[in-house]
Amino acid sequence: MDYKRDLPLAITFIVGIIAVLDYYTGVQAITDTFTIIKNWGVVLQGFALGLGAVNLFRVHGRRISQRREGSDWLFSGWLLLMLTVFVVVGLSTGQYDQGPTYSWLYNAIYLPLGSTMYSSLAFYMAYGAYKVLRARNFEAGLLFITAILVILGNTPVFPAIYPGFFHMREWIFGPIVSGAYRGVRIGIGIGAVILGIRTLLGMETGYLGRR
Amino acid sequence: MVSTDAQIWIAAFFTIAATSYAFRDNVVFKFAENTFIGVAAGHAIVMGIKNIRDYGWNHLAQGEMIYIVVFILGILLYARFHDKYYWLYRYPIAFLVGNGVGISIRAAIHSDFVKQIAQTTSPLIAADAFGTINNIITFVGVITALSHFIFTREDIHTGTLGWIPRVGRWMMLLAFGASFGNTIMSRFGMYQGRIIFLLRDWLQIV
Repeated sequence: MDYKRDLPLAITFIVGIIAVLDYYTGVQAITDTFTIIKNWGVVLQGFALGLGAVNLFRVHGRRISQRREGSDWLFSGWLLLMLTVFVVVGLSTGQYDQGPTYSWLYNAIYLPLGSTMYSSLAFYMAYGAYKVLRARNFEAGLLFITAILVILGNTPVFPAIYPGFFHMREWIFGPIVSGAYRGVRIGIGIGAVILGIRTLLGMETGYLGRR
Repeated sequence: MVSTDAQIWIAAFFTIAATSYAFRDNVVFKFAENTFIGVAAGHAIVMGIKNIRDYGWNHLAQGEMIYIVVFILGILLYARFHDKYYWLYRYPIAFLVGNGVGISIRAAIHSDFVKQIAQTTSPLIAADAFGTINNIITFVGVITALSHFIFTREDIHTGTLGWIPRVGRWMMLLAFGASFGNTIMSRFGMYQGRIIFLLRDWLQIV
């Protein structure tokens, strides 16, 4: 057995099979084992976040040390400072995200930035809608017509002028959206199961890296 | 009367800074962008460490010595940066992939496969004509959209029955358009919340 390649594939198979068996058999010993596996998964995800932080420090640390013109290295320094501040404030009190200073910082910085960045995507989506409109073919027209009807049905003004807009929106989300998405979800389900089985059987090895 | 709360002022500044990109890329947006990445990464790390404590360390402290293994696996993740022993990171990654794949298989079979088929195999005839028409449209949508994903037979897309996946594509485009419109409206709704924050909490004029 190649412990660099075969052993990781065996780990993937065993862990994956336990998760599937827990669902289908309900045997207490398997359920207990899967509970431990789930806990370990959460712990490993925590360690993996640290891996991401190390990468951030490597990339931005390099930018700061090189101080190339036009590389925005000052922003890199600021990024690392904010990261460090949040981690230090979160960990120093022992209260993690429940501490008063942490909550203050969270509400002052993370919350407004997160929701504004997320909602600002509406502008790009509106621009995307404009691009769709310019495409001027039958399929783009299908996409556009339901988008417009749903937007009109979602606003307070248009259904107040003509209630039919609201009913049309409701109808679109009934048979059309549920029918098409049901087909899509069954397709996704089949794809996910096949990909999962291939991964468990060691036929998909991309996650092992290329080195 | 403008707010005198420093927290509100900082939040207002970042709200305006993040919005400023809608006009053009600028230094204030870059500042907000880098702040957000740093803060989001910091928050994720704090939550990650909290999870390590809750789901790992606390079990170990209660005498469940098997939890030592996960801490060793966690440390092995960092072998990725080592030139010679990089392959050790494959063990924790393999564990994470196995766990993720196992959970996704059971979820996909239940919610994406069995449940969707069960909901589709209901009687087409409803109490009224409108309901019957809706049921037929839903059924046609499922069958035609599903046929669009058959890639093992090329002739199903080009032959006599080529209209079936074509109708499926049209149904999906109608559905995607509806989702697109809905997403735009929900994002504008969120943005409206930020505008209300600026006018009510910061400027206090509404």
